[in-house]
Amino acid sequence: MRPILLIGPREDSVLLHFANYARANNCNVYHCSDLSDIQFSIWMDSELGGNVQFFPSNNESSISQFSLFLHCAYELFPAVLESDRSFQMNEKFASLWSLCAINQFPVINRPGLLDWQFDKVWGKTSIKAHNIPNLHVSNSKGVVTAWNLRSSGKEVHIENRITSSRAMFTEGESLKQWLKEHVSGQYRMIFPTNSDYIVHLIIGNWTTLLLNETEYNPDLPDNKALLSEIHRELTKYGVSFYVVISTFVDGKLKILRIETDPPFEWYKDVEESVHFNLLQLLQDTQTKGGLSNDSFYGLVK
Amino acid sequence: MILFMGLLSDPTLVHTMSVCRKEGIEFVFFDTNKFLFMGEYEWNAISGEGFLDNGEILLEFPDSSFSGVYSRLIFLSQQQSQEKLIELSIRMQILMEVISSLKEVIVVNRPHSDQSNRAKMYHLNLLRKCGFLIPQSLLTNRKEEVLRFVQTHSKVIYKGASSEKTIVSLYSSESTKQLDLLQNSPVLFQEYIEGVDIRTHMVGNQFFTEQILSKGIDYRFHKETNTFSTTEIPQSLEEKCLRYQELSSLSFIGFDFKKTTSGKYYIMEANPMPGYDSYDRRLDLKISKALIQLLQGSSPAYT
Repeated sequence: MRPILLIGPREDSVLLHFANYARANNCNVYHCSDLSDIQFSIWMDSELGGNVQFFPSNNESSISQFSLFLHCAYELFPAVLESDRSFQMNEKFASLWSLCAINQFPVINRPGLLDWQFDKVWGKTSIKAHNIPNLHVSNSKGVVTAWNLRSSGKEVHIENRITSSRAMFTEGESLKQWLKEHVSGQYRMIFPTNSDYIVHLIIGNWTTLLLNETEYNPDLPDNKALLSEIHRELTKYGVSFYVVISTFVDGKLKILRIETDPPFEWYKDVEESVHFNLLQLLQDTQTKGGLSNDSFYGLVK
Repeated sequence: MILFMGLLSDPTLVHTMSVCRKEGIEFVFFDTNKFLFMGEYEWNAISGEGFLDNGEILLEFPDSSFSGVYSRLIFLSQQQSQEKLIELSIRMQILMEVISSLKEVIVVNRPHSDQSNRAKMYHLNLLRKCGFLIPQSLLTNRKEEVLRFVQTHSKVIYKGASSEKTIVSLYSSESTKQLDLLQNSPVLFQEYIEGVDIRTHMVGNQFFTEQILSKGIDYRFHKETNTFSTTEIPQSLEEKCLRYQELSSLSFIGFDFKKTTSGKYYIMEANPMPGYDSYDRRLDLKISKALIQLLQGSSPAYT
């Protein structure tokens, strides 16, 4: 089995549970929570292209054929004020981005032109049209105005982006009360019509329904078509492990959120199947480099 | 009318606005630093409607009075508290989102088009796949790999792996003494390409090129020894630039090449936010005039 390099916080439960599963299936797994944990090199040449390898420790020999599984990679790069540390952080981030993008073997999830800011990418695709109305507002007064003027939606999901506090309201007085406690903020508001959700988890070409709180059948052709469209767009950009949270608005499936770093708690009831499919994807031999987003960018190796 | 977004301390933006003024072209300047510190906004990500207010100017979108937007978003984060830094970062994200999403207007350049220049090795690989020759390169945090690389090349340079500005330096025996520091901060090493520096600015589908003779390894830091002259690049190289433009969706790109004595062009990088003003002054403002034409919608753009 091809070794797997896990990259993410040391206590990340997605990576820890997957590591246990993969090791139980005789796969060598390494976990890196800081690029300084390992030694690596990327060689590049006009004709030969890129060649990636890492050394689990100083005394061990190099591994040049390995898959990568990243989870919550941004957490490894917190904003720092001190300039030397900030420089060092940027260099490590750039190195990790390069390492993951250039590796010829499967990468979950492979970065592209905008590193791992996948939400910025599909904002430019046809998927955007299926999003639930949402608004960015810079002050609490704007939040109240937006609530009063909402054209659809019986509730609002609100996030104070400065404190990361989130809440959901169905009536204005509670919202105003919450705002008194979050006067200083910048807000993101989402306006669904209800709180009944459908949650799909996707790994490569495998999809599973994690939750359906609605009375609708998510297997209807329209719903399947939307999931296929999301799958087609995200695959182009190197995304192969994600969760789609949707809800019905006026009888149509609308996207509330696409999460490319789903937490373990969301799929723990089906963890065996999820881990099986993650391992399959990371061991894929047919698509050596096939998960690369190069074909979308019009590039040929 | 053209909308300029950026800082008054940015010489490139100020230069472009001054050319506009001389040419009698109407423009509006939106100070993004004021927006970051005191700005108000509302943005509907689905409809692409909203406003940005920096306390001085209120921009409402969509706004059909603008033919083009020239944005140079620079984040001056020094000496801020952690809390303030988060606040500024969120406003910067909003700015990037809004500028990237503007419809029916030419934007030079949309921030969410291509940020690969922030990861130099990945960026080089994209350029390679567009057909450019690249120097043999190694990005590593392992001393032994560097020693192996240095042995196979007569001269090696090294520089940062990200978009943080670093001075390109020649590898020497002194450098070997510092290799133990690598583990905590990876470095990009490259074979040194003997030759002259070439800088090409691509505006829409127009090319403006200068050759730079310098006694320094990094000509940007040896201004007193540099000699500049106007030149052209071969059509085959222009075609590769066009391929990169197609990949990146950038309308205005600054390409850095090294040209060898045998006439080979090696690419060093493609800059998505070129500081072009000094080249422009030597080229009789040809670059800025082409850029302004592009922003007026009177020449083809990639937007």
